[in-house]
Amino acid sequence: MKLDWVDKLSKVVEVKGGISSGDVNTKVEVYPATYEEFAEVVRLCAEEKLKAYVHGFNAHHIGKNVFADVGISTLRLNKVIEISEEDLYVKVQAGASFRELKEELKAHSLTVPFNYGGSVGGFASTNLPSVFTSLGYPKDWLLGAIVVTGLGEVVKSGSTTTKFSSGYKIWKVLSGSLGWLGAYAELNVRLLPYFEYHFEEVKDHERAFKDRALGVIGVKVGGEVKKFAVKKGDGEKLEIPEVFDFSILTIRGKEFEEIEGVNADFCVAYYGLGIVRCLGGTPPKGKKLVKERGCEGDCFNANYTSLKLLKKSLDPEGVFFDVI
Amino acid sequence: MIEELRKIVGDKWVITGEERKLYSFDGFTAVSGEPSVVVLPGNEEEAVEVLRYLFSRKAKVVIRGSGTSLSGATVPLQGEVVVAMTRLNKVYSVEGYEIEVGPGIANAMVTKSAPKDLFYAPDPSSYVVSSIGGNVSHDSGGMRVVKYGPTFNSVLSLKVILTNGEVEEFTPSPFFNPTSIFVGSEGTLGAILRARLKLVPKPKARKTIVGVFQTVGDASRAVVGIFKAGVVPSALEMMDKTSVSIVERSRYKAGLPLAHVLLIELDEDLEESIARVVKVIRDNDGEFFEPEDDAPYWNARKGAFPAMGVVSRAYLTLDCNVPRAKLPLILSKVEEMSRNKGVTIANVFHAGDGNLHPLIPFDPDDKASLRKAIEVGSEITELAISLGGVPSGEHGIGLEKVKFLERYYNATDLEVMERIRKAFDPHGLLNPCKSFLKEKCQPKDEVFRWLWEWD
Ligand SMILES: Cc1cc2nc3c(=O)[nH]c(=O)nc-3n(C[C@H](O)[C@H](O)[C@H](O)COP(=O)(O)OP(=O)(O)OC[C@H]3O[C@@H](n4cnc5c(N)ncnc54)[C@H](O)[C@@H]3O)c2cc1C
Repeated sequence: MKLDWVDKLSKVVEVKGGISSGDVNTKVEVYPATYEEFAEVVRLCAEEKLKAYVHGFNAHHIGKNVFADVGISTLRLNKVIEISEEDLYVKVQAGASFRELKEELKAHSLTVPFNYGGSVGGFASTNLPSVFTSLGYPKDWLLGAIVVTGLGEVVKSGSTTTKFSSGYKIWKVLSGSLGWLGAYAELNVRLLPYFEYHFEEVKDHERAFKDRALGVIGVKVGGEVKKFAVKKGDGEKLEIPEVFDFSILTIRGKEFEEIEGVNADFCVAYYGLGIVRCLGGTPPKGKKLVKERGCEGDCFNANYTSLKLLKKSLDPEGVFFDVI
Repeated sequence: MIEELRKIVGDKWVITGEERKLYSFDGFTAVSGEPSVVVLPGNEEEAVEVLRYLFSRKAKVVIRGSGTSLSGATVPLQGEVVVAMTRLNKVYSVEGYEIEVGPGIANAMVTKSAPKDLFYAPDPSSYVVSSIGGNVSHDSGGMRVVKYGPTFNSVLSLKVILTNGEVEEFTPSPFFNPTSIFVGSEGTLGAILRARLKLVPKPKARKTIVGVFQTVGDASRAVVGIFKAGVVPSALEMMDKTSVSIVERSRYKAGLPLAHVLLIELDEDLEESIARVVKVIRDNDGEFFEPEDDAPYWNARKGAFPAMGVVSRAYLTLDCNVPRAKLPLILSKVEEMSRNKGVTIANVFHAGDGNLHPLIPFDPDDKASLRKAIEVGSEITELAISLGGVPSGEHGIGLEKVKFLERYYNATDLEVMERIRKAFDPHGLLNPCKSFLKEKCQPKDEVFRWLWEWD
């Protein structure tokens, strides 16, 4: 059956068959190649009362399973626009591969101090922790963005400078909001001079962190917790999986207390970031939990009026799929 | 209304007489307003009760911290009720790398209340007095932003009260955390009742290098060079010759040579970083020294704003922020403007962030001199924006910079910000006429016209 709205979409943008990957299901996939096309698609979705889900490589879906009409892939928007060695930022489109971006930055002796196997837009939207735990979350490294709202407006938010007290931080509140409040079309990300790193097993995680390692993590396999400091200089690296089933949120500095108690197949404690992520097993009761996969109902513990007000301002028609 | 407020906070903490005029201005001294009444709640419960009452009465409100805003963000322009949060200065908890505080606490008290081996990174020069509520609301900066990021990066979560009277406490989660929208929102979306802040392990050692240059061009090229050499200093400040000469005549004097000076602080990989920085200074025709005791130099830098009192009773502090790469160009243009217009402009600023603070003196008793200062300031800010910069790096838009929004943003950008403001504050109760506006208010006199309108 040919749907009328599919025809309408085809006039604006390249349309392909939908995806059904278990956690993400769409009827069609569209591939905007310009911000205007992106915005046009969103406007059309608003008009036709369609639900859209924005994604890159679809590698890190978090939250409720998605059943959307239109999957908006950012993969055609994949250019690195500017790398500034003087000002340590990169201006890059949301669909660019994060790994490829890091390779390109390395050629300029620069880096984004995170590991993420997806798109730059995904990196920003998921705001996931990385092993460089003393360097904060991706959100802290986003300097600005071009954002597409649920009304199909293309807006600038933030800048390329490290300081910005000139407007609401729309681009920041989108980070960790998984595309629910709006979509990134382009991002300005802060950089550091390139560094090699390695993992070193340590006994005293607190000491390692206070000695200002790049990061400290705990890895729990089969009941045993090993602690590692991430330090500068080449050497042995650990492979950390990128997809988990649930997370426990805790006070920064108390991650090891949490990981000890949890019953799961595999967990990583991100010391200094207030989060422990786990695979398999059962999420503990009485904790602040984030159900990352296969979640129904309240996955994020985030039933705030402020969020509803933001949704009302940025996506009043409710185009972007309710992952929350 | 006044009676109701007195019932909540006690007679002493509702100020109605002449004294209330103390709350008619802030750090942006070029203008003042007049509050109808000032209320100082003594704790969180009282603050909630006061604000709920005022919101229910549809009273216009300015939330105030310590009143050091340099953009006039706390000046009551429409006879608002000023709710000063100064007394909400409790430390609620210190655990791990987190500290939870009331919004009225002074920035300096956060590190003081933290374990000895940790510190709170954001350090605006006003840290001794400015409050965390104000710091969060302006997303304040300081010297160490260049490495540790602005206040934003140190705010984990907030407790706020919205204009519908609801109190919300956000979980410090990486996901769906509305804290982000309140940081830098200048008291326009709600009042901050508590902040959970991040503490960072102190570095083992810090080292200061003082770079001395004969031209502004050399000094600013050195700034860019330091980053290109792969060094991220923990602070990188510039004082130009004019500001050095002023500071050296004030109580903040440190014996700095009369030249363009860079203060460069390093806090990791010391040996390697020092070698690189020294090379950059030399390559840009600079000289340097490594003071044994660097405190007087940083004190001179922190005192550079108040030191302006030596030359003028009043001055404007600009805050435009350019990409570092544009520093040589904009500084040479500012020098040119100063010469051509016969206006003293002292530059003392966060060079590592490209965050300029041209200080432009004016005579508070002479409107013409204020007008000239505003005009020169406007020209510099416009130039910064045209070079890829922003109107405010850290002091905020307040009432001072509203006209630059239409230079920085387009109509759609402003429309979206307006929707956010209206959604949180449908009756326009919070900080009217300031910050992120689509439509500017009617100027009430010529000074506001100079500030808000283009020639
Ligand atoms: C000498 C001097 C040096 C300075 N140096 C720096 C510097 O290096 N870096 C820098 O960034 N700034 C600097 N400033 C500017 C100023 O100190 C900062 O903007 C500071 O954060 C303001 O804090 P405050 O408590 O004085 O806030 P106020 O001036 O009282 O308020 C500022 C804004 O915050 C809002 N606000 C305050 N409390 C709350 C709350 N609880 N809830 C909601 N909104 C609230 C107000 O409505 C207003 O919009 C300096 C100022 C002076 C006078």
